[in-house]
Amino acid sequence: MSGGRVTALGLHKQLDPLFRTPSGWGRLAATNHTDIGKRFLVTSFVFFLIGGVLAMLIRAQLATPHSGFAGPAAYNQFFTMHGTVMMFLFAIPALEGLAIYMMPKMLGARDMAFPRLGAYAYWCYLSGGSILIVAMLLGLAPDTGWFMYTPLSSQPYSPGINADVWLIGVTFVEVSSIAGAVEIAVSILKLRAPGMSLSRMPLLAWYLLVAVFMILIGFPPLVLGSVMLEIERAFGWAFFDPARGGDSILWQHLFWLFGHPEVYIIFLPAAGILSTLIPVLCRTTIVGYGWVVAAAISLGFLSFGLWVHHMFTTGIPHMGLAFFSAASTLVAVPTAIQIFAWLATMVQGRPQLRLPMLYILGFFAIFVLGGLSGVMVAVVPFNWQVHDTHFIVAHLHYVLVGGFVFPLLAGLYYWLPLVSGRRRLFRLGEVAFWLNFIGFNLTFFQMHLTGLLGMPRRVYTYPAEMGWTGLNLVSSIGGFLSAIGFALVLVDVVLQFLSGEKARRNPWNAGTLEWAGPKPPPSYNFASLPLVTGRDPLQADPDLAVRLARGEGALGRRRGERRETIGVDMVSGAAEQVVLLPGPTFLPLFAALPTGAFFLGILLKQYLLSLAGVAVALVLFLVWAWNNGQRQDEGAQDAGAGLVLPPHPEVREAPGHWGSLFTLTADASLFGSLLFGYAYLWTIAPGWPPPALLEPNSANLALGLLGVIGGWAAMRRATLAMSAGRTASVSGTLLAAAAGQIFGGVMLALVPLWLAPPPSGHAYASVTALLAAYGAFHCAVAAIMALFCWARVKRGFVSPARTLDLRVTLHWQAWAAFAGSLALLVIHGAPWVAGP
Amino acid sequence: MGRGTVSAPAATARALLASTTGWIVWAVAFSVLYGVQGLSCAYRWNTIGVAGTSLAQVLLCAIWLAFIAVLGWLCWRLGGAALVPGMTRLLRFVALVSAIGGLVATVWTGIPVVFTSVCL
Repeated sequence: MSGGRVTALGLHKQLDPLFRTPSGWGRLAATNHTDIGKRFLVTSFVFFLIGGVLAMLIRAQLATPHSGFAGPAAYNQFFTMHGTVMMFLFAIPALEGLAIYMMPKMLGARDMAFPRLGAYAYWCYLSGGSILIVAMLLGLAPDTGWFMYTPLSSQPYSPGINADVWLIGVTFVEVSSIAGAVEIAVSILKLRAPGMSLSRMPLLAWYLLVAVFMILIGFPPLVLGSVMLEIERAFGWAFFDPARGGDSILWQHLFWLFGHPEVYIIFLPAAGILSTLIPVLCRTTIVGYGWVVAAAISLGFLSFGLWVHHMFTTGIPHMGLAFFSAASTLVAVPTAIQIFAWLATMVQGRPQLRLPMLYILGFFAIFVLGGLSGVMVAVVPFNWQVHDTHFIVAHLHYVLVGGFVFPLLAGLYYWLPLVSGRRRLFRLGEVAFWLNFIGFNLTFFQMHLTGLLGMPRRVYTYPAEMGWTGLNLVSSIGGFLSAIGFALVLVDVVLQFLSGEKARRNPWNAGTLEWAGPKPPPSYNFASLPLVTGRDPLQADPDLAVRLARGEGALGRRRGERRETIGVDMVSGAAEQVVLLPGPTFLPLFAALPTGAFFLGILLKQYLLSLAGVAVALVLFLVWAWNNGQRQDEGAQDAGAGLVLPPHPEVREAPGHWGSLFTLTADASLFGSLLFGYAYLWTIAPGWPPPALLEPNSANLALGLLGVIGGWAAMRRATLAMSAGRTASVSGTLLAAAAGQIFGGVMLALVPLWLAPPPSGHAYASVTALLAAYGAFHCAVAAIMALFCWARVKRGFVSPARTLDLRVTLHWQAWAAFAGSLALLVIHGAPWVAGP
Repeated sequence: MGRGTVSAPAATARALLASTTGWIVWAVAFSVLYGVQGLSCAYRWNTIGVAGTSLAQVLLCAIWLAFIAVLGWLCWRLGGAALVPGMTRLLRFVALVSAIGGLVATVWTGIPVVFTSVCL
């Protein structure tokens, strides 16, 4: 890279103004991953405290029989909100916050792949969570359990707004989670230091990668279920109403298709923390790196084959039970592989009993017990005995607190010097650990016993003669001990920030890159990017930090106003592009506001507000996308350290390419869930065949197929023509692509409006209308994107070298064509197949 | 610090996908078995007698064995060479574990098609 030598301080003065978040109101425009990650983490811990207070209320109520502390209505809100807050507002955002904060630092990048998307995800998370908490303060919190089983959560049995609050708030938060997952997946795969192949990647990144792909596959079924239930509640459609051809068990399938993988989504990042900390604290390297990676991937897949073990008492045939029982026992194998790898690492190394290690040992004790009771409940006859008892409460807390909270606290104490730049002065953390460990076991071990004695979950009181009194009192005392422990952790952390002494640069002698800079980290992470040759770059090159600060790595100079990092080949880690990052902007906040208006409008039945929210959000997203890219071809340029790289708009595998494909992965999961729902209702639900079927209409089918497939074909033609330099015909072809999708979308929209029976009459009509709406929506998206491309071509943002806009739009056109065609074929074909 | 190399955009996504093929085949097998079991009960294929048992059981056993055969072939292929070009040593190892894991999981989770009643 050209230019004279710059000192480390000089380079800092060049880069910091470029990357740092503005002060004052400008903080609301933050996109820097350090700030967004910290916001996710701090907000999730605030929600954790709220969830903890709710747990204390539950334990206060159950401490004695016939307690008058809270009535059943309040108690229902306590346990529903406790589960909802802990699962949706604490665990998932905490893991995403960890990923957003840590991944660029650990992988040797300056920011995440899509900084604005991360900021948008945060605002959506904060807004969705706030809806739930405000509703709770108003006494309108959800009260039908964190799983919202129908028919209890259906309109006739939950007529107020409480269930809607859950459906709207949680869906809003899930939008955030999916957006965050896309960003994290692309960042891990594409934004690493040059030379950091997958084989050299830190294990935490592997675990997070598996977890975020699980979010992309596992969350959409619940989004779909929530949309269906909200439509049923608001407009009287009939997805889950058995009297009209619906089936309440369908809700359970959709919920647990999300809900069981969720447990592993939470556990895997925690396992990543353990795989990072154990070798460092044992002064060795991990034993069985490849086995650990393979086990994490295996766990990711297997966890999708367990969801029915939450439904063993719903009357499913024996063969179905046996499938899921077998899968549930099998999942112990990859879990055990990881545990043995960690134990072997400890045996191989020289363990130091420092505070994070205490939490790791606590994890082993608690999680292994939770895993063993998990194998017990995987066995059908035992499961039937303890279903919906406190035994299950004990099991799930041993798994989730042992498998997530303890490793997270280990990670908190390990990385706190990185965040604060300080070290602990007092030994409050050790006291807090023992309070947490003893308090936890006092609280939950008893629940195995109360559960085996028959105490059901979710009861607000119990008679004294049941013999549960002493055990419950001990549980409650343990719960309050834990609460004191967590309060001490909070005090300890605050004291470290306020009065801790300055920490050494690499206090644990770790080998990973997050320790390769000043503490706390500067806004740009690395003054220049390292070229990685092994799994522990800092141990391989102890002077690395100093040389990076002096600009001796890649991108060691400021080039104008460009915020740059390096994009690599996903597998080999070879450098392939300079990724240009956006700076601070209010757009994510402004886009989250109308998104919130959309959800609030639905909650308050103000549908005009929702429509206005959609319109404003659409305009803002178009402005957002318009700000990307460049109007000239630049070609490959010197990126320092011997690298000559093109900017990302001129590269085929730019981050946006993968971001689009990963978003479509989540979209495909939602569509697959919808098709599953359609098939499930058709074959399993009572009250079928429906009283009236859609009249097969060959004109609608043929014209619809012509529109969606024709639109995609035109888009493909335009993309190929631009790539080949035949630019003259591109604009017209793009307009044809838009027209094709609009035409196809109109044909799909005509199905519920004209051809099908009214959707409130029978589940068949409801699910048919939803299928058509899904197809029509995607046609509209594809058409808007084609028109957007047309404008971009006119304005010079697209050239034969810069075809990213066209290729991303081609993904969406292809999906609209596929999903639209399949929707049309199912809609018109099913009545024909089932007809007389 | 080593020197970085610039890659030609390779078929890296295929290499990544190939390393999880075994588990993908298991997921498909598991879904197909559960789906066909549901269809068998909905359309009463369990009441149609074939070869001393029911059509449903024969169909499920055939599907199960077919997937076992596919995964067995995959294990054999991966024992010798990389599935697609561009697979690193780690990805080859992960692919092999994935294939063997998928095979074991298919055998284990599919065993109920032999021993349990389809629709009771």
